[in-house]
Amino acid sequence: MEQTKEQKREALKDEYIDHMMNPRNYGVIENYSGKGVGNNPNNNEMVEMYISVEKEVLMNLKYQAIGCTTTVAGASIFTDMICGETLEEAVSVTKQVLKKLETAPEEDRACGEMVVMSFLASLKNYENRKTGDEKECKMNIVNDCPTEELEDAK
Amino acid sequence: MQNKIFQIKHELWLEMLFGSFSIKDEKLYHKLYDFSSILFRHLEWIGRDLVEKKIVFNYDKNNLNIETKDNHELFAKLIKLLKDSRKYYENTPLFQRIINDEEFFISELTQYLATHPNEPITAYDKRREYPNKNLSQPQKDALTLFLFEENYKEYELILVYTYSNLFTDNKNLSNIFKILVDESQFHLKSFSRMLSLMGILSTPRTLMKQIYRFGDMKQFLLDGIKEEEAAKEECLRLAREIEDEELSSFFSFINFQENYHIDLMQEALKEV
Repeated sequence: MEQTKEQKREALKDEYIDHMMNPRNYGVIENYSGKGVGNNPNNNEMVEMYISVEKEVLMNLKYQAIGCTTTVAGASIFTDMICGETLEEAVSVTKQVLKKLETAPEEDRACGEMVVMSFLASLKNYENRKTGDEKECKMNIVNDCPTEELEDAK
Repeated sequence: MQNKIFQIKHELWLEMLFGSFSIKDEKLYHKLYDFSSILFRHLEWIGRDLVEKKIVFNYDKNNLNIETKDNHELFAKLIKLLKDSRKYYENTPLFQRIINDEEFFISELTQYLATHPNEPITAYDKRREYPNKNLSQPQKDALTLFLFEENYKEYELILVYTYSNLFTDNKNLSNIFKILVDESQFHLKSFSRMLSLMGILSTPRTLMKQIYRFGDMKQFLLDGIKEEEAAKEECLRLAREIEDEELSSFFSFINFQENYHIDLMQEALKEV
């Protein structure tokens, strides 16, 4: 039987709650192929992403975060989604996520962007390491969470 | 090896603590909560011992699967964890004291298994209904997000203040950290019990090392004051949104407690 819109929305919410309760892929990869940081320069929140790549396939991803629940649940969903994909496919998914984030609620945009930026930074680090450059890659987000301070500044 | 003991003890504390939160029976919940408080003291003792020996340690932990289907499964699991941790302990007076305490927990839990009727655990069933409250979906969503956010925050504060306390020689600062740990323990207990009642209880994620290994205490306290002020706003907003006398009054109470925390942190600032 086909699900109604209401049922689909509830199922989606249940899935989100499950990611909040049991974040997937949280942690560190010791022997990583790439490591990157997505950073919010305004409040020092960050996501640190680790990737393990074999034959251009994402075999494993792990992340840690200094941030809110939305960031952690978002990273859990995102890493779950791209694990096992080729790098090309993962980048394509990343572009779609960034596009979707443009219309996301303001308070979720910064969190989502931080997750995606950490992944892009880890990819950059992966490419750099091929040439012997081990330097940490960090990418700052463009959007920020709406706070009273920011609103006042506007 | 010694950091491994610290990690085992950290995980044991969380298993007992969140196990206690998951139990419906108030009496058993309080019993297990008391045991967890003693396990937390063990963690502090081990931490202090490591500091004295100049051994580096951290709050790393495995992703714990705390879900059990009923009380008996929980008691049996806790007994096993307590027994398993033994193989990591050293033959010193400190660990002898710890073993004595844990022997008592094992005998009590064994007795509960034998004498208490089994009861299902509903703390993880994701039903997201607050008992005897008629909350709308947006109210439930706001409450869920708040509880998740603050629960992690309180756990983080307990660990950060405990860590800082292990490394300070300043008595006044140490007293302030101890009070702040107690305050956060109370908040963690309150929020976790609410999460348990709603069927969405879970253990907090692992802290990144830079959260507790920082060089600038002054900046940490200044940031902490900002965070407490933000938490106050969140409490007030939730108290308004929830439109339930009992819950609103609880969140207003938490809001007032944050004032006290801010005062304590300002006191601490004078000491650094």
